[in-house]
Amino acid sequence: MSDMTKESFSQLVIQYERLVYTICFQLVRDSAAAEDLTQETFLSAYIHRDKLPIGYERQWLARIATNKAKDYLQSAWRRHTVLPGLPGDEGFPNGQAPPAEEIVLQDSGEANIRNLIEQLKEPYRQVCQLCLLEEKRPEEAARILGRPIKTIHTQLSRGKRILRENLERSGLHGTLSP
Amino acid sequence: MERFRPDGHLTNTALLELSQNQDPGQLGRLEIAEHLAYCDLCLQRYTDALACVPLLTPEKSCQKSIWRRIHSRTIRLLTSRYATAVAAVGLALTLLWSDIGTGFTGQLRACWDRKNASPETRWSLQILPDFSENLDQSIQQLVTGFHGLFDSMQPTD
Repeated sequence: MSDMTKESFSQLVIQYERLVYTICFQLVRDSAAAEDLTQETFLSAYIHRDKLPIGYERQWLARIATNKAKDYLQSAWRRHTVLPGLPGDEGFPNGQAPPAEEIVLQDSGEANIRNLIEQLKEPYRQVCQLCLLEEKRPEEAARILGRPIKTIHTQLSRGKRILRENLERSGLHGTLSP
Repeated sequence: MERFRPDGHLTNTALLELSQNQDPGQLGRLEIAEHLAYCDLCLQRYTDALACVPLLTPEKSCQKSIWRRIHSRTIRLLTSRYATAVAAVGLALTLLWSDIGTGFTGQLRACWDRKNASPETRWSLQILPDFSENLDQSIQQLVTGFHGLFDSMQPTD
């Protein structure tokens, strides 16, 4: 749709502004941030307007809006979870996760880990099963599960953190302060 | 409340609650956003769910401000390209009319003067002024084109 005119793009903004804003607001829960993300969404849409799939404008804009909201939330979550003096654990590549999680997982018995992983909820259970039990590389897990590699890294990192908390809670491993 | 099904997709409850403006919490929203960012099926289900509820209206519409942002971004991009192009042309001209230009044309003229230049050399000396003229014209056209482009980008409303 490279021949999109200013008028037709304006029409697209008018038609889908409320949808895009609703998606952004429902995900970030902040009206000012949602307004900014709405504008960001349409700016991205304009820049990549040649890739707009005709007839699927709604889905396309919803995907861009969701991605913008995801980036915003990830950034906010990192700020929220990173403790002073400690490395942040979000989105670390495999093998570079914070040492606390690695130590706890290594020291705990395989049966305990297996049991706790099976009790994990999605979206972490399948990722942890593949990467921690079956020792698949994140790239393989991404291919098997059909998820982006960055999402796998994030989910694996967060899954390890949940496992560590569960291990500490269950008393199977001595408390390890963060 | 279960947000994800065992197959990894979002539950109907999670999508329904989200579309009805219920807050699943910060981590819940992050997990949902991460999933919707790549899953076509769940994104379709979510937008279908949104089609059944009244959509929210932003306090400030972006219908005008988006054009201001597009505009400023375009100008920034073009200015950067324009500056790069001007710098590249300037460098090329400097090289052409300083070291290479004087050395090369000097040698050619010496050959010409000695009247022992080959037909190819004579031809080169004849087209060199034409080349310079054409280059000047091209630069003029480029500059005019950029001015025209900037003029056409003036806001209409």
